[in-house]
Amino acid sequence: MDKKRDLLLQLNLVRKPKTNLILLRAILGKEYTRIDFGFIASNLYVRGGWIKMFPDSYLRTHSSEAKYKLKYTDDIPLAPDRLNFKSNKDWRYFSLFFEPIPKRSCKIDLIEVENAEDTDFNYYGIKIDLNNAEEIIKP
Amino acid sequence: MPINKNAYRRYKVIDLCLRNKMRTYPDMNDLLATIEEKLDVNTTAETVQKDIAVMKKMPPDGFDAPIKFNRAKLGYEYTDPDFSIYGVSLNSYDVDSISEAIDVISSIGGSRVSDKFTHAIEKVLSNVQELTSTEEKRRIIQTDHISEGRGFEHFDLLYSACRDRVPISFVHYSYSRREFKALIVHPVLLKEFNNHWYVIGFSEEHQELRTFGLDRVNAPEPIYKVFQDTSSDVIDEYLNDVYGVYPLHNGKKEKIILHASPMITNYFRAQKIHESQNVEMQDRGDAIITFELIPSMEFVSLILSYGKQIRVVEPKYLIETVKKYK
Repeated sequence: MDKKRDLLLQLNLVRKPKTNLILLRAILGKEYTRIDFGFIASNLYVRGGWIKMFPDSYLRTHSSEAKYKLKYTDDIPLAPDRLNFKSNKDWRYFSLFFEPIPKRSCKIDLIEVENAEDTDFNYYGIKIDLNNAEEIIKP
Repeated sequence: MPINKNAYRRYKVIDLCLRNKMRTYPDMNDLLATIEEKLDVNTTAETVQKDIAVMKKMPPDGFDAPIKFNRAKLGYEYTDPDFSIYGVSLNSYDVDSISEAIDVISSIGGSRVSDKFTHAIEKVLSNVQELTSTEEKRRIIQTDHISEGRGFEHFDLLYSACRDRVPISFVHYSYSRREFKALIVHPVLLKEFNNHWYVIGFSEEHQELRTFGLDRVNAPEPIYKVFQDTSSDVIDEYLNDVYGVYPLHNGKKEKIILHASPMITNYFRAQKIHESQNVEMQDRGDAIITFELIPSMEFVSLILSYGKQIRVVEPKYLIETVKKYK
């Protein structure tokens, strides 16, 4: 494996107990660590509710205290802005770009909010196993 | 000595005349008339004689053009029929054929063909274009085309992946199941059906050949991985047996029997919608139409589009499916 290349992990991790958020992929790059998500609007709200991301979100590895801050997002607004869905059948694919985590096998947490509620986009114990990583071809 | 621009334009017209297979052996009057027509300038026989002399010179002064006056035919000719001063030898048939092809491609939708193609063709035709485009362009072919939708921006990447046999990771969203999934697909083909584009390839998740609408493909990433190739036979079977894109039921080929009214029968007799189609005419002008295919949602849509003019005779589940969507 060439660690100089961007590495891609297919994860497909459904959040529990609310299952309308899925962490799809992690891409470990030189400039950033990108996390791809899919969100499916639920029946909880007549028009599907909304999504947003707190700008203080970060990644942390289990092996150190270091925090890898959110740099920017793609297709999801940063709070206090929010994306209001038009119906409860809407869906959204979006990506979060964090400071790059080290390219090694480890477990990481994605923290949007400390002491999170079910509706926050926190993920714990995401397994980054470089044995399952694919190298991305850059043009 | 650099070639004068006006002189160069005349050389191009002379070259065009000498390569015109519809009017061989042009004489001096033909050359003068064509120059006047194409360039909208009057010139003299003496000038054209000089032009021909220059064209016959060796490069860089001329083109080493094998021009000869044929005394039997009383006109000029290239003794090498493949010669052209452009290096790429395009005769009038070639130029017409390419122009027609461009028309057809443009009518299908220029956006479906990458700009690279248009650019390349422009380069090829750049020398002759000004001579062939004397008429204002008007559309003479129109096909059913809707401007590209979501996912079409990945067309070039997926095309390259199919061509170069590169696996792709992408996020797929299923409209029917309302479900996201990150997939790795080994793409083999891009297919268009009813103005929608699809990528077909071996899906690692499903362990079989699958079809994915481009509008449901998000963030494709080409990856370094051994390509899981699919043989042409398997691809052909997959494509030929199904009408449309997404198979219904168990995805197996089966016999479908429809009954069509006399009016609708005309359409089916005029053009097969599937290779397996067989129209058996009845006394009243109506018909029993049979197919051996894998029915799909697109097939159901087609039946529904004819309303009461067509009905499913067999199989039972298809009768029910059509009823459900009526």
